[in-house]
Amino acid sequence: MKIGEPAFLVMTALADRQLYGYALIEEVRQISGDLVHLKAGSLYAILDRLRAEGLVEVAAEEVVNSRLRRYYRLSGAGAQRLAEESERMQRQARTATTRLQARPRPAAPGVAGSLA
Amino acid sequence: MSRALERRYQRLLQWYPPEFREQYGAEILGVLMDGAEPGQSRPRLGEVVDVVQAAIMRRMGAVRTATGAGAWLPAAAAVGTLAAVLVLARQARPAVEGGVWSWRFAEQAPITVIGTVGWARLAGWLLIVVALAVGKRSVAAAVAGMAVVAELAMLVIGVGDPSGAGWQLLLAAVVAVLLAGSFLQGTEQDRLSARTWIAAAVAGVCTALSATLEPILARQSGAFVEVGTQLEVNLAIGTASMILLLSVVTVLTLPVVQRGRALVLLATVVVLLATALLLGYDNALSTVMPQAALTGSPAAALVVAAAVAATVLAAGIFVIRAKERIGS
Repeated sequence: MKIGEPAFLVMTALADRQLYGYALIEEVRQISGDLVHLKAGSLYAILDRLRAEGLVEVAAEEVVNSRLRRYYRLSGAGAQRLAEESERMQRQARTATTRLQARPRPAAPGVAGSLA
Repeated sequence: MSRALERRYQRLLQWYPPEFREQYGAEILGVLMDGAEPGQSRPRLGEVVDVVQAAIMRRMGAVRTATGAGAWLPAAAAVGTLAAVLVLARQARPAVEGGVWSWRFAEQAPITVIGTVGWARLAGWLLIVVALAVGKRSVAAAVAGMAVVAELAMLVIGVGDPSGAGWQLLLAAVVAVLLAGSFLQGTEQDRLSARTWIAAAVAGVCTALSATLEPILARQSGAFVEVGTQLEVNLAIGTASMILLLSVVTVLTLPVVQRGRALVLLATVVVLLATALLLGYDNALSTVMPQAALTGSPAAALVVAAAVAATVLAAGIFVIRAKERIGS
């Protein structure tokens, strides 16, 4: 199954540490440069899918302020999958950069305007 | 203040199906409470939309888990395919039987009436099975749906039909319902393995060829051809047992996740048909087993059969859920 951007960010956040729900949301926000704000419903839809595919697993559980905190981490299969996905994205990014450099240079907008 | 908010969040989580809530409810509540602003007393609109959307997707099965929530549709499609093959074989039986009768007894052979309706059924079901074989499952489901409409129309209009329009309607409806899931996205890819197809084909061929037994075992006495009632009963029971056995064998060729579900669906269909038959839904049995007509009304027989089958299905779903909860 294809990994979307939110799932990719969740896997990235869990790559080197165990995190529980709220901390995971904060981490994803930080990694994405404050662009991706996951909400609870979306986060657990993603986590459930990743768990079902064996990419993410439960690392530990604890009760803080009488609330359950379940810590998640990336599984071995998840690490492999994230590496593949990261490699794929890097290849695409390199292609994008190369093609942008090969783009015919348009005249600077200001000059073009004054010439017309 | 915070208690009221927590209660409201809890109410919001009711949108989720119970098994998801059981697994993640406490955690999601924790995340929502952690994210609450001081003094906040109700869920924010964005949160409500997000949870409700995730819950609806969940309930619609769009978020499929590998624990097998989505394995019912492929299982239904597999049992539906097997059922379609068997119904095709059933439609071929009169032609097979008629052929053997006239080969063995020539002039004295009992007349087998197939008729235009019979040939049309054979052609229609052949189309369904061919569509399934080439992977056009939704085409097969659509044709099965049309067969239901056609059988219903014949039942209402009362076209002279030797082989029981009511029974044919029930068979078509069973296949149409089992294949109906193919209209949902993504189920077309779950092709059946060659092993399953071979097993289903063997079941179909045996079902069709078993129609030769009656004319082969019949005795000629003078100008008449005799088929003992006991022989007919034995043949009917033998054929039914053989079809059941070969059907179970076919289901056992399915992938493990589908196997249990397919067995539950098969049991549901078998119980539905057997109960309907024994309660006299169709007169097919009444010639050999007059005691089979226990109820006067076919509709009543069908309602009772459907209720019994629904119970079997519910019990099967419960058992599979319980088994997988222990396993996970």
